[in-house]
Amino acid sequence: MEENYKEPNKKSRRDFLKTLGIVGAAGASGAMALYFGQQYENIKSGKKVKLLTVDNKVVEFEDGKLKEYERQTEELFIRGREGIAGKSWVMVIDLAKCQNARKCITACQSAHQLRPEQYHINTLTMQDSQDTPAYFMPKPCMHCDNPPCVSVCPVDATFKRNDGPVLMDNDRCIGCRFCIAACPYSARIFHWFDPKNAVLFKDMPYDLELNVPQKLGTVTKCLFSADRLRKNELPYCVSNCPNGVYYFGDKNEDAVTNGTTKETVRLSTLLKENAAYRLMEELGQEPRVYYLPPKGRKGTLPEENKNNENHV
Amino acid sequence: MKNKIFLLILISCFAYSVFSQEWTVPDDKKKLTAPFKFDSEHQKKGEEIFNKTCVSCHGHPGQGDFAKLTPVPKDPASNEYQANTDGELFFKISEGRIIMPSFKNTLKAVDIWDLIAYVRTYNKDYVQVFTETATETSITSKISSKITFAEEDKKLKVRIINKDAEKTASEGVTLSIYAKRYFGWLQLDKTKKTDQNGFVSFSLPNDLPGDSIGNLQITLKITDDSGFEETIADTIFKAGVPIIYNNLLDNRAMWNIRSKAPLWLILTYSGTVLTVMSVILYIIWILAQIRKKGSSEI
Amino acid sequence: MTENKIIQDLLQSVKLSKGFYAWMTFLTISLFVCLYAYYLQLTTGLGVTGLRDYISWGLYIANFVFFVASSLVGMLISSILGLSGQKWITPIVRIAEIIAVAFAAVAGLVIVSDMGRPEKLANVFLYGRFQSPILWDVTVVTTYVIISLLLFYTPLIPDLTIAYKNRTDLPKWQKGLYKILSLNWVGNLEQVQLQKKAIGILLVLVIPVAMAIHTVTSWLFAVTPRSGWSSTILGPYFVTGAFVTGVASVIIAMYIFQKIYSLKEYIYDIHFDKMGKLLVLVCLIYLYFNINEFLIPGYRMPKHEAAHLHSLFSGSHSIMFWFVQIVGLILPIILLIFKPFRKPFPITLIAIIVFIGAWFKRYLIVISPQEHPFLPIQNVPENFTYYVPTITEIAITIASFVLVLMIISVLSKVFPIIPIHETLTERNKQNEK
Repeated sequence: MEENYKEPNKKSRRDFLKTLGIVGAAGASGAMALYFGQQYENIKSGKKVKLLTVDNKVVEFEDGKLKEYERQTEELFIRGREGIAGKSWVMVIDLAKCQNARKCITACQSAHQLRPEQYHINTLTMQDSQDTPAYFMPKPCMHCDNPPCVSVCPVDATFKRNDGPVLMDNDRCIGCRFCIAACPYSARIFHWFDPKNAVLFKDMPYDLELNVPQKLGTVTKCLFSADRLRKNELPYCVSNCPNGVYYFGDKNEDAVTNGTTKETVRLSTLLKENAAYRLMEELGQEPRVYYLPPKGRKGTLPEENKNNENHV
Repeated sequence: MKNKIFLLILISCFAYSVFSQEWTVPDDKKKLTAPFKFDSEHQKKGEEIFNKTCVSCHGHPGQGDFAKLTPVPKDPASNEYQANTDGELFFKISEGRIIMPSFKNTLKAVDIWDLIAYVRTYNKDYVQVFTETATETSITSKISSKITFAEEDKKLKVRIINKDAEKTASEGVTLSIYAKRYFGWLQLDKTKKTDQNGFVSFSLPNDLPGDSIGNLQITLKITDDSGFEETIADTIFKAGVPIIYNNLLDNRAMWNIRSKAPLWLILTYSGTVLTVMSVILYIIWILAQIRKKGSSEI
Repeated sequence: MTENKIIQDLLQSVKLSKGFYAWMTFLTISLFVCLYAYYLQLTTGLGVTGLRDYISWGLYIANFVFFVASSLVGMLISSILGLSGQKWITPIVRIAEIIAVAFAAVAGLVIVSDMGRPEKLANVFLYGRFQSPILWDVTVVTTYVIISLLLFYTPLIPDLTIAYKNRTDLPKWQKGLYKILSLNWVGNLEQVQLQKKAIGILLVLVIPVAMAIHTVTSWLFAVTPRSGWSSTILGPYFVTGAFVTGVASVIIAMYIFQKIYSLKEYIYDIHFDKMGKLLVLVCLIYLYFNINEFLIPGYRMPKHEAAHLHSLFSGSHSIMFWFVQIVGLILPIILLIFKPFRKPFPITLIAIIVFIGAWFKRYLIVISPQEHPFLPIQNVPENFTYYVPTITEIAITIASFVLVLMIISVLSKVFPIIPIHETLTERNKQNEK
């Protein structure tokens, strides 16, 4: 499974090089990668520009290419911050179907280069009161329309897009963790240590919409798979669920598509007929994730959580 | 612990009684056979699909590593599983039941047959029932369709005509219409059959968002004998309502970017900072005055 | 006492003695030992702390809140008491200002130690969002440090001239420093008036800024939709709590300076007695806010708040909680009502306990609500569900205290700790009467 996710990254990296017209193997090192996310050498033709990197190495660039590269990175950033015009992404999670297969979690973790204990989406076992049976509840980021995490960010590192999702720019993040403190859904995590495979992905250009490579000392979170949405594909968690739990789609189009059966239904009808609700509506954060009630609750409470006062 | 075991037994009994009921497949579907001979190529393709789509619940055939769900996903290598006819398997995979999802929309008919080809490799006694009839040309090549849209009553009229010399109306053709959405096709109205004149009429919802001017991309699909659909027409009608959306970032808000902060906040913050800073500068100016008024000769 | 004796008395501390060098060497070594811990944190990541995804603010933030709180005392003593005409505060005003400068300045550093990427600190200034309380906090803390420095420096100007004139035995750099900083002070009428005006403005200005610094710090918590933090009284609750910490720290500093600088004739029982009464007053106000903060939610016990309150009242934090409330707050109030306890030695002991209690109070405020989020903590390693500070973290926190001590030591050693000019002026006024 993991291979499937790595492949697109490699490919886009290759495309990236191609568009630049730069042929060759890796050369310059370390700090260069920090700034340009890529290593270059052996430029075929044209006038060359010499640059001194932070670690005192001279690197040659073909004139004009450097600017092009910077411009492209910039455009990716602007694109990533604005979102897809005219869209308004929403997710519907049918709790009655969740079997805690945890495929959504593993798919997400391998796409976003996370460790097993790092969750963008986590399936919780919920028990609302002593007498009601437990049920499984996948919990991604709610992508609130009144996001407290974004409000408190001091540097615009986490931001809301026109099409709904709340994204993270880990190049901007200072690691103050105010957003983690502010999130009532505990949807944000922090890189306390070097991220998984940090050395391996060190030179990869930063993809804002996928938030990889992850960086030490920054916050990361669920992104509604913004990179997949642009490619007309459903988010990683949605398309990897074996049980048809997730629906995802555009609220403006009034349609959501089930990730397992690929069946498309009208959002308004789905919400109406299944008594949909949003998590902790009373906090007024306006979540973008709707839940359908856990009819026929199937969860079993893990033994160690039975005495957890948070549960009841 | 005792309670837990008891509960487990109870649950299994319950599950057995409820979920182990026979999964009945309509008789006509039972007899369905693959349109091709299961060869190694199909089996290989089937294996790929199985590993991508099925393994997470059914586990690897013969290894018993299926997910512990209720009802229990059957091991494809088990006798119980293999007792199904090809038609039954095809029906079950495409329709789904309880927690087994329907794969009608995710997989093509040929994919499902490939899957069956693969799981049959775990049954040594299996002999494929294969009739050379399925090779006939697809239904879409035999008919043509004509679609008209009446905007006033939101009705979509379809007529199906056979492509033979007399251009006779085609009766009893199963049709569905879909509107294009970002991630897939949304079915409008129900699946219907043409009348004796080859006509069928679909009523469209009057509140479905289209594009910026209300255009909807509509696809007409025909259902073949095995229950799979094929597109026979794809057109654009002004049948939807113009899509309305507002850019979330247009209005000033606490959560918006810096330049879109509430005006009162920007003014209060800057005003306060400026005031305090100018007072501090004034103090520093006073200190400079003190220095001026004194003398360096102490 | 003659004028000359007062000047000699108050200036005798201004000497970089061997003892001072020894003390500073000790502090520097401790600082470097602790800074090694910070080096570890920089290279490994914040993972060296006990913090994890759910309890993501810990010792550093608690310590930051505590430092900001302690720095508020500068405003309380010099402004509120000063403007209300309290004459007895003259000898302790500068002590209070030094404490304010030291704690406020180091508070700024403490918050940097909590950052995941301190190298990106410039982003706060480049991309600072008006909506974020962190930007407000950075602004007010910086402003407060500047105003406190001015409030420390402006009354010091005449003393610098006095020190320059009366101490011929000082090293050259120190005399040069005094000469530059004394701003040609000769004490003429114009200068006196200008100085008076500057101090007057500063004393008024520091009140809203000081209130802001701790109110904004409380908003770091109050703006979040978390039970235990999202409380409307958090602002005044923090400010009153700050006075408790500040008064206690001034009492401790008074005792130490009185002993090591032999200032018995300038700081004596009456000052401790008055400070004792002041401590009772601020503790009572703080107790009042505590009752409001805990009694009302404790009475209603709403679902999510209940988990947090139970852990305080009878759960994992109960020992610390009741120590803070009873030993750190109620007991000092009762004891300090009796005059014998307001004698220098007993009141200093009590102040130390209040000081420690106040520190743990901040710890509870910051950590406990995070352990009880709205949604259960599941599928994570055991150590994600609770918070225990690591040695590294504690060392970095100790470093911040060492820094505070260094600043206080330098400022109190290089400059006269008791305002000479004001002491003389007041004495002359009394004589005239």
